[in-house]
Amino acid sequence: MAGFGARRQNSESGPGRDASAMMSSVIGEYTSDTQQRKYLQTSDLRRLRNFQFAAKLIVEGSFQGKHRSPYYDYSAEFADYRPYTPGDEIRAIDWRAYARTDRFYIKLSRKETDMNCYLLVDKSNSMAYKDSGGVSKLEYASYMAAGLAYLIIRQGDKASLSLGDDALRAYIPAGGSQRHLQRILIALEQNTPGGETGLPATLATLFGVLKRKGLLIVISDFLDEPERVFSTLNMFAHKGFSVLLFQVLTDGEMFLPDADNALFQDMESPAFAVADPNAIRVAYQAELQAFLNEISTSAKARRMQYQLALTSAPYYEALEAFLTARGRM
Amino acid sequence: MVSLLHPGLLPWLLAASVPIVIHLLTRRTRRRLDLPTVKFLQKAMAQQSDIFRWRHLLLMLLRTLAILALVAAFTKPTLNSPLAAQTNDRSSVVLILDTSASMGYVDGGASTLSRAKSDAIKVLSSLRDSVKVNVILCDAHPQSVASELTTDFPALERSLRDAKPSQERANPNAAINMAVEQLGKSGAKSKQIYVFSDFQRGNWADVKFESVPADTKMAFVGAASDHRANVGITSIRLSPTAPRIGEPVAVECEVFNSGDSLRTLPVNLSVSTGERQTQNVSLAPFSSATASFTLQFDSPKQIECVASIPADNLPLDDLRRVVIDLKKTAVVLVITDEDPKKAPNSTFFLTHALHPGAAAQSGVQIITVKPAALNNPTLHAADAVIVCNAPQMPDVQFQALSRYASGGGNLIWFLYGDKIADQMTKLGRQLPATEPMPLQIDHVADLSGNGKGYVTLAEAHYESPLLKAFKDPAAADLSKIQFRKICVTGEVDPRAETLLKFDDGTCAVAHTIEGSGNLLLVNMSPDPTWSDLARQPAFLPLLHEFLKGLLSHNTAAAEFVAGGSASSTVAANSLGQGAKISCSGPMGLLPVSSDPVTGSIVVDNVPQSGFYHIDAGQNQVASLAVNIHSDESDLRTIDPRELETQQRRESSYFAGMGKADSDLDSLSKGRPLWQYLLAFALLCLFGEQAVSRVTAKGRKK
Repeated sequence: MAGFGARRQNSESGPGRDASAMMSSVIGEYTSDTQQRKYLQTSDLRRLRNFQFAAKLIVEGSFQGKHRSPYYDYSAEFADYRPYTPGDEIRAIDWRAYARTDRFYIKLSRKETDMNCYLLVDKSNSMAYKDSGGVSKLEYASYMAAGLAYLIIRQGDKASLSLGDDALRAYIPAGGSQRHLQRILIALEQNTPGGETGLPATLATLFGVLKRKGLLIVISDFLDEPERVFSTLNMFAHKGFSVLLFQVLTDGEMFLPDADNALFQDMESPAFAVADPNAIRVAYQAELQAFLNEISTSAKARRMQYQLALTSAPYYEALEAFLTARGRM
Repeated sequence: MVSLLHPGLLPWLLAASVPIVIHLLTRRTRRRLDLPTVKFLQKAMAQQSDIFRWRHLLLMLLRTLAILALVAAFTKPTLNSPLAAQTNDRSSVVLILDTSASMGYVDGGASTLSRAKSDAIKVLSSLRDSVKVNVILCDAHPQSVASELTTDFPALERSLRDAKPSQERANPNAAINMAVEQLGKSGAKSKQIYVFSDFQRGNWADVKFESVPADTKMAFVGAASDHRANVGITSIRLSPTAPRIGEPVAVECEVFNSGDSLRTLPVNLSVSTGERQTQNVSLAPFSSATASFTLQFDSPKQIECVASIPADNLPLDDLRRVVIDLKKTAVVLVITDEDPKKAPNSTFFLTHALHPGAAAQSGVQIITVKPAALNNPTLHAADAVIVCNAPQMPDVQFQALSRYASGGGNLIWFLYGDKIADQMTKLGRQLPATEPMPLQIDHVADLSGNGKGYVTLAEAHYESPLLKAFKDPAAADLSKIQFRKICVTGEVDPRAETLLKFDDGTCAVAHTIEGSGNLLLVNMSPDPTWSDLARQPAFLPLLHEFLKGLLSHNTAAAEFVAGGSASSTVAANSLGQGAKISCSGPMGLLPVSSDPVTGSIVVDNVPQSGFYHIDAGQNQVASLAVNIHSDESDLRTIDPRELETQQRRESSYFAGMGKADSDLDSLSKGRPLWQYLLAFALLCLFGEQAVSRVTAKGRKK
């Protein structure tokens, strides 16, 4: 966690022409109040300038974009040939192919379209937990969400933001403008933790709201019943959504705080436990690891990408690792 | 009971409260932390063992115990033994030191007695000066060092240091009784008896503790080493016990191996005539073997024989002595109311058959006496007594004859005469209840008017030493003797031996062992009106074989042991008129008592083994062989706990038995506890470290 703030304020200099141009256009929209923004400050933009968010699905987009569409059209990206049939446009005939084969062929090209990315940030009370001197899980999740929204919009796709605890509390529909990014950032800044974790209910509500399939990115601590969570996520997968899961935890949760003897109070229920972390650590870690394994295994079984992010590491490192891994898939 | 050497350090025990205070303070300052993953914490705690749950309490307990044990160790506590705790100013203690022969066993350069002495001195020096003490040296005649309990410790210690192993057997019962008596007289509140011994099984197996009051504590301190092996000559027997001149005599030496290994060793026999013989014996563990030597002498004197084996760790029992008292003639006392010189009567034929005349070398000297004139000296001087037709015998003589037989004599009774049935009844009454009267007479039967008019001998037990000479029919034909009158008898007692039977099944001769002597009932008479026995050639050999068989019978001969008395009976006339009777032995002259009338000589106490010579004036009239008690050769010990178990005594304590001296120290001085407390403290600290490490192995790095 140490140095996180410093990184945020670290203003790297260095040209990046394409990114700079894009960044300039993005920043230009809200340059006037950049200093007041918590998320996506200039230093963050510089770090994210080389990140590329790749969709791993075929996107049903309405606008020209950089993602493959399920529809064929006339474009630069060659896909296949097919024999000419009456009714086809004459201009679609590949005359070079005719010259070689003396037959009429129609040259097919893949249509490229834009993508909707739906960001869901868990804002339950447990997300308020933070290690001493660090950021809370909610803040960390917000940094990630802001970064992802920026990347998505930067590459011409549309980003949507949902906030929820045991229910869907806020929803910003997908949009690809800089103003839309502003809205997302403002929503993230104004977001405060509250309520119990109830991902299944939130997801179920969101499922009813989303009309167009796209990329669902859930950023949460997933301290819920994994079976129920994945049962709901299954609906998205079946509908054709690509699902990405970011599980955000702190070092304190992973290894227990370094105290001699303490009363540990649950943040969402009256449950508590008096324990010596030093004495219980191994057994606790075994229990937690079993839980994490269950989340990871369940996600893998459903072809959902899963990434564990610890708040002790800079969020962009987690993002970078995630995007790099995604690029390899 | 625990006593402290440095009780001033006790306030430091308050330091034990430090871990408790720290524990309580730690509890109060427990931090409250938020944690979203409490459910995993709860699961982990549920799966953990109690040691994790109670870790802090356990650590506090271990630390507190460690401090307590450390402080307690510095106070140097001593756990007093019950004996040590009771030795106050009104205590009395008796130390019984076994000085029997077996205590002379030397092992590892030190004798068992020296170990016991060392232990006894240790106990003596541990007692307070005000405690009244006495020492009893326990051999066959236990003696206390002081006449009563005393506080003169130096004198008692000197007596302990000067104690030497005797050649006697221990008499623990007498020593314990003596100790109890002395303690009883002292009126002390606390009474203790310490016994220092090798607890030889032969001496201690039958010890009784009934005389020891319940308030008297007993401590048994064993001094024997764990493995004592010994070979000793435990008995030496003569066969016959009273051989006559020219008669072969077998000297049988029994050698006992009380060790747990096989031994083969030579047994040497040295005779005072200069003859020497050697024989090897093999001895299995804890078993005995016999070496037999045959000797023959041609002059009437007492021959001293010494059997020996190579010396071992207990030399006393490697020698054993015996005196062969060769007699020229056997003295036969004939008790009868008949006149032996007036023929023809049964006594006449009997005496003439035994000793035909002065010219005959019969080896028998006949003394005829009327029943009323019978006296003890005459009786005990006889090698055998024959009763033949003595209807006038007073009742008192039946008792004398019974004692004679039980005491090792040979009594032959011819069932003949008017009152023979009554006489047998009277004799039977005098015999001990445990010894059988071979048969009872119903009546005297005259067979002359019936059938063939006589009966003959039909069955004989030729394996008996008394009849083995007649096994060959050519030697003498017993079946030719015709008996016209016989005593009709009842069933022969199964414990008696029927030697001869008439053809009508009536017992003719019955033999039984009475005490250490013999009783032979002969249902026949040489009287011509009763049988033609006197005229038969078998008569003379039959009488002599009876006599010879009885005299050679292996009855237990008197054996004298060190610490006991020794006696001998000589011919009354050999003592001389006014001659001074003296006894000289290995320790010089000993007091002796003698009876010129009976010829008996008694030495009240023979303390050492060896030959003792009885002199009448200048003449040696007897030689006595004294050996150590055979039980002293068996060095197997008995655990005093066995004795205690048998006696169900609770207030007894044990130490030693070949173990370390610390046992004795703990018995007499108490056991120091500081080292145990120190070890316990260290154990607690190790435990604290172990618990800390085990429960903190998941500490975050």
